[in-house]
Amino acid sequence: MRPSDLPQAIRAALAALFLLQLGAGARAMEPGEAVQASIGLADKQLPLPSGTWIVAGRGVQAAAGDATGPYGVVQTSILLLRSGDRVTAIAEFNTNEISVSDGWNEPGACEAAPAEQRLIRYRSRLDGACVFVDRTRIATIGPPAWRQALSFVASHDLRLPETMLTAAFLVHDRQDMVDARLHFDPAEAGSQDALLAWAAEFAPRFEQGLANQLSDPPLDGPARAALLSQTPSLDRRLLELETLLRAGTIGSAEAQAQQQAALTEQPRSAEAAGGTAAMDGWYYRISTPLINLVTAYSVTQSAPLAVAIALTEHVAHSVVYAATQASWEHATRQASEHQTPWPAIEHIGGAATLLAGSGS
Amino acid sequence: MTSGLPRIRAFLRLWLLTIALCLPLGAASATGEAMPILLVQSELADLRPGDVTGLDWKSTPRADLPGALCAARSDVSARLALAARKLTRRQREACAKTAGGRLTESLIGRRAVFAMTGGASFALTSDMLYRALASSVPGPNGGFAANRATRWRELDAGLPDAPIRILLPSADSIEYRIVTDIILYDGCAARALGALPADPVKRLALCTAMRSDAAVARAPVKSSVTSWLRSQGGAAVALIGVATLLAEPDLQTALPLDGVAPGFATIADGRYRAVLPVYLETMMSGATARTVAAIAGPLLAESTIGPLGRLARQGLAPLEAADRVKLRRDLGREFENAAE
Repeated sequence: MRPSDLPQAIRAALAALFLLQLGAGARAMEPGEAVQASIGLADKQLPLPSGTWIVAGRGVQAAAGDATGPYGVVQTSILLLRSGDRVTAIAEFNTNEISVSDGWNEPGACEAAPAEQRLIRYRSRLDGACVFVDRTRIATIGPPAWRQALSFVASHDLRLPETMLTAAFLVHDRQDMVDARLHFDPAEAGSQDALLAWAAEFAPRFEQGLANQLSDPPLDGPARAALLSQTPSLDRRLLELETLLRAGTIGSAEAQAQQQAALTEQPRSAEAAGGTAAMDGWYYRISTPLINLVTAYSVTQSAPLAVAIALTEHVAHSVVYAATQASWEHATRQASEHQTPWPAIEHIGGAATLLAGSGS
Repeated sequence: MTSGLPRIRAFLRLWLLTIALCLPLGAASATGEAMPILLVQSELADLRPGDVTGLDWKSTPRADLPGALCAARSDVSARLALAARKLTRRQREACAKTAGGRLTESLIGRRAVFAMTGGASFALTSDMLYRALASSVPGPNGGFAANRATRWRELDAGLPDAPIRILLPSADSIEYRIVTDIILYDGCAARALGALPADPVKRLALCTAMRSDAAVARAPVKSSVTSWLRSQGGAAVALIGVATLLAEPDLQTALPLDGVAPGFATIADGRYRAVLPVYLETMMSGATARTVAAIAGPLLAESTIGPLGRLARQGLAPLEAADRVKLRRDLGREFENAAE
């Protein structure tokens, strides 16, 4: 009897059993287990701020019905950081199970966040990384992993804040994506500005984790960073410069100059500087017709004729410009569009998320 | 010939700066063998500066610091001190006269005490901590009586209804002095100013005498501070310094004190009170600048006073990165100028 002769249901059951056997080698962390520094999820490292975190929930989110990307499911993991019976921070990690090969469409959540609450670290046709801060209502709505975490919270008599300050990290490359949200008790995270500054320091960790290159000791969360150091990457840079100086690799003048440069170096947003572009646009819009008018008048010595020539040129130029822009935008949209959309991920608080961070 | 002088000068500057920042300390020891070096620390023994410099630092009480640092000896090749208080103007002038040089005082970091909680978050004040910790507190009739408070709620209606459990820093640490001389004394003065004796010594003794019952425990505890907090219930408070905070990443929640949350900004501007500065005092003169630079350089290095440095692990709350860089640059210039 050939396999194709088997009834459909038996074939499906055998296939499912085979797939289950394939996945049996990887042990999932169970709720209640304690982890430090990072957690492995779908073959990626996801960084945690310092402290002992407890796995409180794990689950999967199936791809939406219209999603065509072959990423299988989104793995979700929820971890808690506690101080006594208070939950002081929640880590909500989402990442694709199966790697894709042509990248992901850009997530919309960062764009939706107000400009002063986000930092686009980089953005290209094939990859991107952004950070934004938000306020999240800690409701019962959320993915299956969150419901499991809520059971853990209830069974351990833990207390959750009603709202938390959230730092969201969205990173993707040609193969994988990570949507991570670190929620902090507002009493300990400080202001949104302070949290964004902290998140900008922490963000590179997610990029390293996506490439499985996390090796440094964990960074402190915002509460401890406020007491010990708010500039961990600068501290490390200063220390490394000093090591180079001691080793004689660089001279003291060079070390001093580089220390000074390190102090002023800031991670800039990859967003286009709107102010300059707008100024340039206005300059060209006004100066070009004016120059045309003057040129036409000096040649024709007739004001009506000069105005007519300048206007004709301006209209023709505008039409050509609009057509060029439209075709350029069409081309770039096509080029940056991927077969795999950013997954529709359900987050803690679901639709109840207060500001722009409702996700994707 | 004329272009050679600036070159030699530039070379000398570079050389001095290199010495200040990176010369191995064996050089200082070697210099010290020829002529004695005066290294004094006052109340900061637990920072163990000798581990960084490879030289012995003499401990001296605060009152004796000027005498120890500024001793009238002509054979001394360098004078440095670590202290939690600046010298007065008169002491500095007298020191400059007897020691022959210019005294430079530089803030290199701070010592701080944080009130870490085991779970519950509540606002503490110096007054509450004084009434929780002092062995005797003002009674209803104005006189001092034995402290019988056992629950936080007895001190303030807004505090948790839980037993008072406070872990104190070890008695020989400067963190303990911050708890007594700053937190307790502030609370005592605010609560019982009229009932306190006029004699400042008696006043300090009365205000800072600690109770010794179950409400207080003293570090070092057998287990970690985190474990101690967990074992004592959600309203327990541990008064700790930077060294403990660095060693125990699970200590996450620091309570505000007198309405001020501890942080870089509030510590630097003095709003957070449970802090003492740490100064490096150096006596600068042309003859001693190089030796002083060779000792001070490693003490000011990033690997010493930075957040990842050795003194941070001993309890030094670091300055901000820009201030550390400025400190090294400014003192480097001082050494250069003194040497010239």
